[in-house]
Amino acid sequence: MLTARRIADQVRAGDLDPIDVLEQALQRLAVREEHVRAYLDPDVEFARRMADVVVERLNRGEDPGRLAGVPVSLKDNIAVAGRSLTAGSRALEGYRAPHDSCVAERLIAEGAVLLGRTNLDEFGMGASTESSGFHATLNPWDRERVPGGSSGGSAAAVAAGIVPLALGTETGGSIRQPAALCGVTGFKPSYGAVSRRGVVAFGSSLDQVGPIAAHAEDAALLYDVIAGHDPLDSTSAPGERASALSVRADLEGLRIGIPEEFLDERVDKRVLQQIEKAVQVLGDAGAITKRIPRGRLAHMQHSIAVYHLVACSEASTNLARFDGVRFGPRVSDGHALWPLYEDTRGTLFGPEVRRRIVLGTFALSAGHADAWYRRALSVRALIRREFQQLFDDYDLLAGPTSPFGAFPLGEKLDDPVAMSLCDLLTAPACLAGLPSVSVPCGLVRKGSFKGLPVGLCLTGAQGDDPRVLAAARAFEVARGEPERSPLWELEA
Amino acid sequence: MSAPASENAPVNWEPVIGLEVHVQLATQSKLFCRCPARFGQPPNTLICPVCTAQPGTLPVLNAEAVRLGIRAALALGCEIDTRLLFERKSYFAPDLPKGYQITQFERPLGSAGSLAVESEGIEAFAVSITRAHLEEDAGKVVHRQALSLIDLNRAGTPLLEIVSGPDLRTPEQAVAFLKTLRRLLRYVGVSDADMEKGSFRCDANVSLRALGSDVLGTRTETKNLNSFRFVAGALRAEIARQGALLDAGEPVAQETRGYDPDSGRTHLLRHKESAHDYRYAPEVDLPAYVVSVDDVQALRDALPELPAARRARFLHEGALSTRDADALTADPKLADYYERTVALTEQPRETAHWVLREALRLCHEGKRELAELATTPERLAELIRLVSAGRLSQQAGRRVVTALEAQPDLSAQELVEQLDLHQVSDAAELQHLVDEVIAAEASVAQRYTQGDASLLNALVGSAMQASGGKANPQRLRELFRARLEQRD
Repeated sequence: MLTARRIADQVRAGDLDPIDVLEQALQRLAVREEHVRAYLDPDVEFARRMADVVVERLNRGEDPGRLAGVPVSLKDNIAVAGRSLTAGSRALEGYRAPHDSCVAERLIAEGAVLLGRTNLDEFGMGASTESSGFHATLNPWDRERVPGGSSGGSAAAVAAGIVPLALGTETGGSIRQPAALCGVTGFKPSYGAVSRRGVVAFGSSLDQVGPIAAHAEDAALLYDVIAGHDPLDSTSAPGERASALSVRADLEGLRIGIPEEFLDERVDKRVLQQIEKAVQVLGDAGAITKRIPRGRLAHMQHSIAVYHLVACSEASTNLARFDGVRFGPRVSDGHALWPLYEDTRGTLFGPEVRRRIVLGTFALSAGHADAWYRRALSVRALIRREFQQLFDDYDLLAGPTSPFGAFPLGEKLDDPVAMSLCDLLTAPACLAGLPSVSVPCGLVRKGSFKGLPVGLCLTGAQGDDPRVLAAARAFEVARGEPERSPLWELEA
Repeated sequence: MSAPASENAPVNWEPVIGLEVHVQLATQSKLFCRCPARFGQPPNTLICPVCTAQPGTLPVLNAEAVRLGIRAALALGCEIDTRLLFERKSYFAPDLPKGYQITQFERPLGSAGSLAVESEGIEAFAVSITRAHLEEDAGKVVHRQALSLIDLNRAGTPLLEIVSGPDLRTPEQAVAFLKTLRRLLRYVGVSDADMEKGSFRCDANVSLRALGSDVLGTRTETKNLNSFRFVAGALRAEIARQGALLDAGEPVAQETRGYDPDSGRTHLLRHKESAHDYRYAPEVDLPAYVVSVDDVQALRDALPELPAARRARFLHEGALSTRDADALTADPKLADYYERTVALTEQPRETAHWVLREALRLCHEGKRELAELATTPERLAELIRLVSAGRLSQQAGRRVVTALEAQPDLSAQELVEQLDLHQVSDAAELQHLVDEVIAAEASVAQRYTQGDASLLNALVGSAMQASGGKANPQRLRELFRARLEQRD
């Protein structure tokens, strides 16, 4: 499969027909999708119409844009006008988005061919994509295992080689963790770098849209297209944004810290071995790597608790609109209002979503908000400050993305506490609003995750997104092309 | 439980009343989206993905609503919080699309203000304004037979909630406060404050306490009082109900009540125990909106002289009646028109009369705004001066006003000539007129001489009519008196 950048360059040069590019992707989809079940709706006809539009633009002599003809799959919580938008929930089954999300607008303006709606944990709540209201997605490396989540569909589609690029969303780790578990690159931008307009909200103060790509350089390309101020998202950062592709991919002289807090005892030892090798690669490529003794991220240990309190509290209000009154399915005997609310929400939301709404409702309720929600906000502020202070001394922080590799389907589904550990190393950057990338750095050699990919996580200071992506590109060059999943080259 | 309305306030208890007023701000568009904020349109025609809470939509704060909110708060003498923060107030209702209302909870944009109330028939008093904050309105549910229909046109319309301190003691004070507040809000142009359209809505908190006590009793909140009459009725009913309970030694329950104007009673809506836990949480989709101190100062500078101050000045400078001063300060355009006119006439009482009676008559008859009248302050002032100088009678003056409006090219003086309305004050000419009337209405004249003094007006009226309104009525009066009393 060509990189997105090469597809776009060749389409723009007239050397490649966008319709051929799409049809090849559709052939791959036809063969590989049954192995991964990455899509909720492949929406093939819409993709064909989009490819036709790119051809028309070429025929008119227009430049179709930086993603000319590149098939891009979108997580099914990102709105595209007139297309299905379920957020992985039965509560939105049959719903069609009234408007394009900001990111979809930008993709379409740059000539991307939107291909399909990818699977996710319901409303982004989960780390395995098993909490989808529709079906689980399978890991392209091992069909018995989860792809991670919540952007598991997007990560699996890219890892299976169906599309070179996809969009995910992240609240506590939902881009980087599935990228790590599927052996692809996933980038969570700084909070405010990418507009959230048209993205089904989970935890509004945490949610970000970001790229998932087979190549780090393509992640930077997609980031460049979607990032930038949107006046219709008040949390979108104002001002011009530097292009990530224009930053030279170079590790020379970069000060990269490895906080001991990232090397938690709960991280699988063989995962850690791969991270140590990756740090070696960074150093060999000219980065100044240094272990940071325990203590400077003293409050990071509370990240999971703080993350759950903040995200669930916000979710409990964000999900109040799914009441069966104005849109989506309704479960009601048609007689009384409260049973309509209770039956619609009680029936259509899955157990994980109900659990989180209950937790968030409790954390915000009178008499409890001070002890839980407001306290979590205070600790969040401390975590953010500790990170800011670290970036006085370091350009980037490095560590594992996930404490472990892809785990077997069903293993953690009934154990929310075990599942929450998936966010152990990713939630802190979300709480602090930092840009953070997961790049594949090798396969586990032995043990329960043998043969499965490991992700190296590089985190930068707020707003330093181009530098983080440049480091990921340089790492990929220094280390070499990532290993690919068995599905990558699967023939029909 | 319902309470009978009683005109009799309880004897042993002092009512303590505080009001919460929801005022719709007169913006073009809604508070967080670009839909028009308009009343009386077909259902669900002023809606968009944002105000119907479609998944993924985000609010964008309307800067004009902020401006109007601050302007209103400044007019109420409030301190302004320049860092606007919003919260989500959560509750489920079919007319609340997001399942939460975006409001200001912890930091209202205005606080610690006050409003002076002066009204005929009651002693002047001041009411503290505890807070004034921005929030969005909900939609409406319309029940039609078995159906509940939802109209979201109003959802997201900007409101300023103004909360008074518990400073009011009688229903009359409450109504006077509301009227003064409404006049102020209209005067500074932040709202049309029309109760019928729902752009000025009131909830009343009432408690009673033992006379002389300074401890507040348990209060009830009576919701949705949408006319001044209902406010007064609900307060009277609630005061009587609580008084009867307390007289009987029973406690007042903290609860939310409604008012039924047909029965004149209040009724229970919900107990405090079943009160909502609104789970206030920061509205994380809206970062702090910072208004500069300079912007606040500019808004303060742009405030007109407020009606209370202007009314006091009119009373002081012009010795106007309170009734005329109230009328002139109901609308800043009217007060401006008056001031431009009186600057030229230097006769406040006369000018107030001509502006309130004649200029407003022209507006009414022509369905025009004051600013659209051909009868400008300059042209009206010329006429007032002619009348005051005795060149024209009041009656003739009214005809000239009509002519001024009809013939914008002619001045008052020119119209007096064209219509031949010069007041006749010449003694001989008037004497002739008086004699003619006495001859023609001999029986009236006779009854006057026999002591029915009221008939003088009839005689003067007849003479005025005979002169075509030109005769000087004051002189006529003197001449009639002289002639008829001489006969004695």
